[in-house]
Amino acid sequence: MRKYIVVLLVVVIFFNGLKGVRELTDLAIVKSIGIDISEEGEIVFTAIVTDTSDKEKLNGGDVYTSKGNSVQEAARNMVDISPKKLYIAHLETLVISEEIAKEHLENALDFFIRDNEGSNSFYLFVANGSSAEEVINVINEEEIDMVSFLQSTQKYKGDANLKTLNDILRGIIEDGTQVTVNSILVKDDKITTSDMAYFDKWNMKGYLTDKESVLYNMLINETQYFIISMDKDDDLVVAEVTSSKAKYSIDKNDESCINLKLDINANITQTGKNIRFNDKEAIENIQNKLEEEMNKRVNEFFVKIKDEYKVDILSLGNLLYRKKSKLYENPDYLNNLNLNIKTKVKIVNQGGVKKVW
Amino acid sequence: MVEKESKQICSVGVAFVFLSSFLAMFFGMGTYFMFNVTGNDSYVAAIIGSIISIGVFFIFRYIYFHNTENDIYSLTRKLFGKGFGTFINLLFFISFFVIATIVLFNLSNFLNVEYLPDTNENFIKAIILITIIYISSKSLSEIVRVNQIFSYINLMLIAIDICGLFSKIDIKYIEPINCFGKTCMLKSIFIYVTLSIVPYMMLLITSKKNIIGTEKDKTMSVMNRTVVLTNILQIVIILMTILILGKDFINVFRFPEYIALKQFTLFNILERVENILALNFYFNSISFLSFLFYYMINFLPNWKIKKWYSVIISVILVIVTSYVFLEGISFASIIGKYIYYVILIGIMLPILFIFTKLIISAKKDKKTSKYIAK
Repeated sequence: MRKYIVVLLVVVIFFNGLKGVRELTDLAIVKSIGIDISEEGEIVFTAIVTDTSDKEKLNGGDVYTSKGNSVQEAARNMVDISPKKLYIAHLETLVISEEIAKEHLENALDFFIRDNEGSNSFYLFVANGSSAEEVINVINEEEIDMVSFLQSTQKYKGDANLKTLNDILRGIIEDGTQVTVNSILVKDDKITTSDMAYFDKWNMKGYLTDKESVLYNMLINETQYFIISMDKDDDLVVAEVTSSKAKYSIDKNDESCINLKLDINANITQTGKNIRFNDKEAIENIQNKLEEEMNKRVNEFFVKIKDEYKVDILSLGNLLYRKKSKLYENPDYLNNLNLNIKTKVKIVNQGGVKKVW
Repeated sequence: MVEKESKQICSVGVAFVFLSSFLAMFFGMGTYFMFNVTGNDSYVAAIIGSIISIGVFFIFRYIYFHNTENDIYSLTRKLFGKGFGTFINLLFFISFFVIATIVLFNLSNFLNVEYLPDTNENFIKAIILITIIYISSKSLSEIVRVNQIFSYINLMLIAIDICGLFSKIDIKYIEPINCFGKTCMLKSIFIYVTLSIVPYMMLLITSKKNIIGTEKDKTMSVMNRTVVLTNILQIVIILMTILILGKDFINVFRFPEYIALKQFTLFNILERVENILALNFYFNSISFLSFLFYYMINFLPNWKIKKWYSVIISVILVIVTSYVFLEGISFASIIGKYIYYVILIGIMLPILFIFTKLIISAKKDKKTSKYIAK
């Protein structure tokens, strides 16, 4: 018995932490990473390393840039300029350049997918019109908390979503699914979330417009809060959506017809002088007008997806695949699909104001 | 008297031998093989498989309750004589050795891939085996008690897992239903049933004789309940993994259950605690390996070096695992092809022999007692 205890103690001392042990003070905790590709074809790796010694610098840190033939090599080369090895378990943001998004996404992401330390629960961005390095520098200079930034954009504006790398990866792998990625624009040394980049599996194809991004996020149930503005001047109606739910199903009689049921609850936040809510009929009138407006917008967007973008970003193919529709066997299934939209808008609140003026 | 009682085993302890062995047999192995064959339909295979598997359990239960000896080795020798009895025991021994190599590699590979990528896998194996050697140097009652403690912790961790992962499930991932065809479904059911044979075998590690006096009568109901509960638990684990990762994503990773755990979040307060939650995988495998070691050591002759048997087996295990299995994915493809033959020929076939012999003996005894009564 004693022998075993002695052996165990010796083993514990010799194998303590095993090989590759890293002290907390030796870790360079990375918050954000940017990946570009240089003119020579090298990977340019930019990272914000949290400065744990400065308590006031909550969201900033030191920015390091290195190059290499692969993401791993570029990250490792950072040891030349930073004394600590990068630790990416707490990574919050990964920014990739347009070129990476268009041609090298699979290779760039492979490093992060394989990495055992991370949970792949960070947010991916495409640097719209600038390099990823530039975006990373602005994030650091402005000390922006990208997670809060993205969350408030998603919550109050609706043109961004909170899909993590895992969600995006799943979207790429799944049958009949295409993905979109948030993009960041650098403007006057400030950053803003920009139009969403849409992908055909691993390759970025282009950007949705600002309004389309909101519609898209609503249609994939990624945002519930956004604003619908209808008509102008005296007929103006502004509704703030408080909840929305999109539900898709294949029509029982016609496989090529997808029924979209859109349930929206909204509050009226502003109206022109011609708009009055004196009775139930008036409210129903506004509800009907909002329903028509949403039907029109969604239909126009769907037609644009089919004719211009030619990428099934609404993942209708996945619905066909899951329901084992034969239509999915046709690679050009998107062109053969029709969307039957039924929107139900419910005005929950008119702001508690009775117009008497 | 006190010492005698301490060497005896309680009925819950025996039942939990099955629980931990079952979960260890399926983590990174059973579920991985099933996902490879039937993807998101694996839960259907698990449901059907568990029903068949419970049927198979009755064979083991019958043997357990008709074993008048101390363990299965003594029973085979008694039923078939020294020659054929030892041959059957040898088959058991070989099967346990093969399964021990698989479980050891699976565990060390998991730790290597997920936590210690810079560490030589043999060091990890050494650390695991030192624990096993220590546990298996104890008596069976102590091994069972250690496992019982592990099992309570595991059940608690699994309950926390389910709570924290519930918000991450998406029911749409259950579709498309039945898209792999009948052949794949049958294959997946076969995997489930075959792999569940090994945990049932672990129940025969002891006999009713060694259960504490008053608990003897409880054993049957405790065992039945644990078997049903464990099968349900495994179905829940498979179903939740599918509903969290989806059909295509489950096949990307070597340890899909662990990747699902990484999504764990409890009220947005507790996050990234998969390292703690994954402890149950470790505990289950350690317990299972301890039982396998106990079985193997008990088969070997009672020579002077008996106390070194566990060390010798460990060294052989490290050598074999290092040379046969190069890394996780190739390991899974090798094991996925041959493990079923090992279980069916090495365990199930001898068990059927024993079962048949016991039934024949029981009938003969009945006839004899009737004859005497007349």
